[in-house]
Amino acid sequence: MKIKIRVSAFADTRLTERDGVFMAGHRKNKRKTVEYGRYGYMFIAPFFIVYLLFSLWPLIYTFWLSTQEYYFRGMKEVGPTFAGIKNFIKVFIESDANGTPLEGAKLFDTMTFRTLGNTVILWMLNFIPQIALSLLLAAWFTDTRVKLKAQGAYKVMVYMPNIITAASIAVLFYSLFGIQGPITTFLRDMGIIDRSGIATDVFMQSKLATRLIIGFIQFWMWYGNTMILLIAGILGISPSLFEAARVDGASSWQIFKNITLPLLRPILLFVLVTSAVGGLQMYDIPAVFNVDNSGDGLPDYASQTITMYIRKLAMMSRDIGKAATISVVLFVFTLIISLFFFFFLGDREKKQKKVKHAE
Amino acid sequence: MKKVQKFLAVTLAMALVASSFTGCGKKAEESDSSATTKNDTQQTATATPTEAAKEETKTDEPAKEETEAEATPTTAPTPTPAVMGDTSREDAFYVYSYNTDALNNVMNYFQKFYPEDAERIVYVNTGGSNYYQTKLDAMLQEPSNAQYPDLYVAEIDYLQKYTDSEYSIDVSELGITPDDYKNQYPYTLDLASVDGKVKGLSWQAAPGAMMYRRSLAKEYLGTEEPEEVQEYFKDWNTMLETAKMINDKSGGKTKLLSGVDDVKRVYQAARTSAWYDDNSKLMVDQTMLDYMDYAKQLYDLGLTNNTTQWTDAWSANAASDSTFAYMGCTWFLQWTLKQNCGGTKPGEGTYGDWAMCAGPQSYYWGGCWLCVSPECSDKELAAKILKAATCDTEVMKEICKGSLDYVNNKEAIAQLADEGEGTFDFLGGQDFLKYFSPLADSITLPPARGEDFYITLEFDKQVTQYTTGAKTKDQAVADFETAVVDLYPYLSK
Repeated sequence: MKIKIRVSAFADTRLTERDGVFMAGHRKNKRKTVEYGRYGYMFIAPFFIVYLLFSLWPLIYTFWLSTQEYYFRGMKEVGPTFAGIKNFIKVFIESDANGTPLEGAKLFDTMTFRTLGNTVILWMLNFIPQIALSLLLAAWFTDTRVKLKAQGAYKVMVYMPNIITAASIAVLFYSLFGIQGPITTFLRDMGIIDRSGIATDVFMQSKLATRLIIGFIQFWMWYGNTMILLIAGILGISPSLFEAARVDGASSWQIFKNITLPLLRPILLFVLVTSAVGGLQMYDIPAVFNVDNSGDGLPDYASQTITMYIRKLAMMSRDIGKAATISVVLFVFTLIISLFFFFFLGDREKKQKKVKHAE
Repeated sequence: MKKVQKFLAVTLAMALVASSFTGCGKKAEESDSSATTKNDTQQTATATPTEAAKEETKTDEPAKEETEAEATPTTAPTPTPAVMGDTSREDAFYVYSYNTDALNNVMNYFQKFYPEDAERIVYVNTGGSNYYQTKLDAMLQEPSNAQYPDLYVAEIDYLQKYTDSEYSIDVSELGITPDDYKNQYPYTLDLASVDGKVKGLSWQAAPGAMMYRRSLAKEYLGTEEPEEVQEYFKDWNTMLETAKMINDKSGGKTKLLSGVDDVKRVYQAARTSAWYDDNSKLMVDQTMLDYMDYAKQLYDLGLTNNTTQWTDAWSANAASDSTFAYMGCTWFLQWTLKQNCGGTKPGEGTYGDWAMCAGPQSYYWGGCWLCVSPECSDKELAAKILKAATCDTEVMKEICKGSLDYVNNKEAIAQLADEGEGTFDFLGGQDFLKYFSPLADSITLPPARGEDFYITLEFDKQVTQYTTGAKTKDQAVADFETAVVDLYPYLSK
């Protein structure tokens, strides 16, 4: 409406000056105001072009590749030829080259699911302590009764590990816990490990220790980030609720359990889903931490995540069809996990209302 | 508030500086751990001697690791850039490799003899043998690329992947005749030949030996002379007994080897079959099974320092009394041992305190070949480089004198040995040319496959599982087979 008025006012002044051009000028101006919308499309076009080229097309192509037999023998390209679900059979059960399951082979007893299992374990080792500590810190930092001093400094310190490159941290921890590393040597001198007097690579040759260290690195790097998200979530809750509860004589724990947690649910869900999706694609830290020259997570593939395995198949042994199939498996798995969180943990109705309100 | 901001700014700046240092340390370490059959440790290596020399003795010294990490960012010499040469030239000639070996031992000498041609060479060092193939393959499949490799280095563990394909050309197409390479060791030619066509030439031969510390031998074995020390290592059982003796006498301070996998290459060279046969059926040679047993014994009795080959901890032992010997070959001597001994002249570190004896059995280890790509932009230049580096006795004599690499030219070696050029102060005056030449003559054709590099890595993982006691031998072998078949769809159990 506003625009229309302005146009007519403009036209009026013109009318007084030059009668003849009025009509043409009016039409021109009107078109201009209507055509502004077109620029909007131009502004969002880069995203869609990039998305189509670098996300959607590779996605479709990966699905197509997963149905193909396509690998390299040395430098010789074999395929791509249509193979139906052969690749999928190979991924789900140990099979021979033709996709016939081997005798005595068990379903899911393949490297694909082993590495997927590793990924889930590594993610849980990092996520459970991470969410617990972040919640605790977030509750403390936002508690009006505790009133922590120098909050800013704390927050910076907690967030600090996140700004260092993940690979550097992995290398740092590797040298700390390696056979001649300071921690290993210290424990050896204290007589806690290697009691026989023979130096062994205790941490790097233990599945549990390797996984725990990777889990710890992830936890240590990301709890600050999660904490800041949770603080933002808690600050979004109306303070009058906390005040009312306090007036009613509720303890801190009761407030946390009955007010903070339930109202924090959407944020918690967001943290959970993003962390799960990111966790399933975990690559950088395990790929640098305890690996050999073929890039496999040692010992005995215990720290090999599924993305590391996909890279190995696609880039190293170059079985592209199978690598694509495993990518599809990972995609489906991630989808199921995310949907599960949304439908069983998320309160969809509330969420929708919130979104509308924000708009 | 301002104070807080200042404080924050300073802490952040410090964190940034600190993280940039971790970054440097990481790079060096990565290139270390990524090296396999030939180490890329030169950068760290040259940085460590001064630091490491201060640190004397003892195996478990955390300080050593620290100084090493510190030394890397601060005292590292200007690192070799990944791409060397004038890339803007129209007629640039691209050479691909995964370390500086071919640069130091081939291109630098080629430059001395043909300075004008050498100006055209662009040397691409991709770094890391673990991803070299990935990078090279992609480039080879793209002839229109301006940086298409004209010449490339292939190592013994994956040489056949390239020679047995159309991505390398017969050297006779370059005008190199059998007469030109008559002085080469026959095994280097056999290995690069497919259907009678020679598709790559090597500038080095790589017979192996056992390299031990003279002072430690004198202390624990009572002699330092190679012939007499050899008696203690004449076969595998005697070697095990000697290892126990050294361990007991030193009170566990000196171990025979740095890691159990040091003996792997010795066993592997004696293979009678490659990892799979002509029907693409996977097999584990008896020698490899023997190796597993021997490694287990070494581990159980605690006769090594339990390091893993090519890690920092593994090579650091060369500078201390914790390790009696390394199993090494020609290039290992000048490339790895000399760089990690903690000194650059006699008296520094362990420099000059080494000697060689044959060890429990004769073997070869590695070596690099030069292959010419099919779309090579200038085959004349390629031929010139190949001839200079692998056929020309004069050039090869220079290479041998300058870098102490054992060149693939019998005539050059014989002449140099007569001139007494082989006396090497690092080995306490032992003549390495005279020592290696009969060994090089006796190398026979080893069975090899293009996938050896990666298959052997799968095997290593399972051997570790067996030696540490996490798996039984049968289980380890079965898991190895499963893992390999899982990677290569054309192989079967």
